[in-house]
Amino acid sequence: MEKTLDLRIKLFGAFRKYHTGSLSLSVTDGASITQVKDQIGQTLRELVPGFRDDELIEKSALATNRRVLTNSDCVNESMDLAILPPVCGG
Amino acid sequence: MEGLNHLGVSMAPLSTEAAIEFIADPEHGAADLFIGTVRNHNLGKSVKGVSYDVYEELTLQTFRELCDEARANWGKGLNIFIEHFQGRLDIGGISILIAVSSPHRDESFKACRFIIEEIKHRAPIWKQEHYTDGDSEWVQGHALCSHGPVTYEGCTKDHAGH
Repeated sequence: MEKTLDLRIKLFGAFRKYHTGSLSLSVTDGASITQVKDQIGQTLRELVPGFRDDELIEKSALATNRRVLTNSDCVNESMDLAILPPVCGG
Repeated sequence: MEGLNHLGVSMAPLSTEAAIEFIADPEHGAADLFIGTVRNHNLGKSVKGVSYDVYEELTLQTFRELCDEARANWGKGLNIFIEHFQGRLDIGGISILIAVSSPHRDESFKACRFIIEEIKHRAPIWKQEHYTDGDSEWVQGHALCSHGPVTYEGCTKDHAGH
């Protein structure tokens, strides 16, 4: 049986218009960044009636508190992540 | 000797005096200060304020990396002050302060410019504009998942630290 990991996803920027706080979701051990983002989209569609902002998810990056993850990264342990929309600080 | 860093995310008003005082150094003959403020218009819309959302831990990590890259390019002795505001600001409010000092002026100018340009493309910070018509909107930004080398007028180095 495949191992399941628990992720807590912090939401920032434009995601706050859909949901405040963080999301809890479960993914398969070794899930890719793309798979995690897909799962985030699925979770938001379940939580937020009419959520359709797939473009926001597509343009956003996943990150730990130390670095932005790349498409070559995958998830191997339960952890806290953040989904980061396109940035515009300064 | 390696220079000093002051890196912060603040919900209190930012202080230009604190920035200038921090970077002051008897061995440095030059200092450059960048002040980012909230303006009253953007893309044809009348703005009355901006709210800044910040992922603090990763922002501070990004600031540390930028200091390392600035010193790799313009000298290890740079003193660097970076603070970004978190929360809501009215028109004229200071959103970001960057101050850099160095023995000579060229390095201060270039390092300060580098840092602000990189922050705009790399730091996990977002702006929500509040308009005079009552609407609010999250500002379009730079995607981190497709980030490549940052370029700007006068940029002459590969700023990824390579």
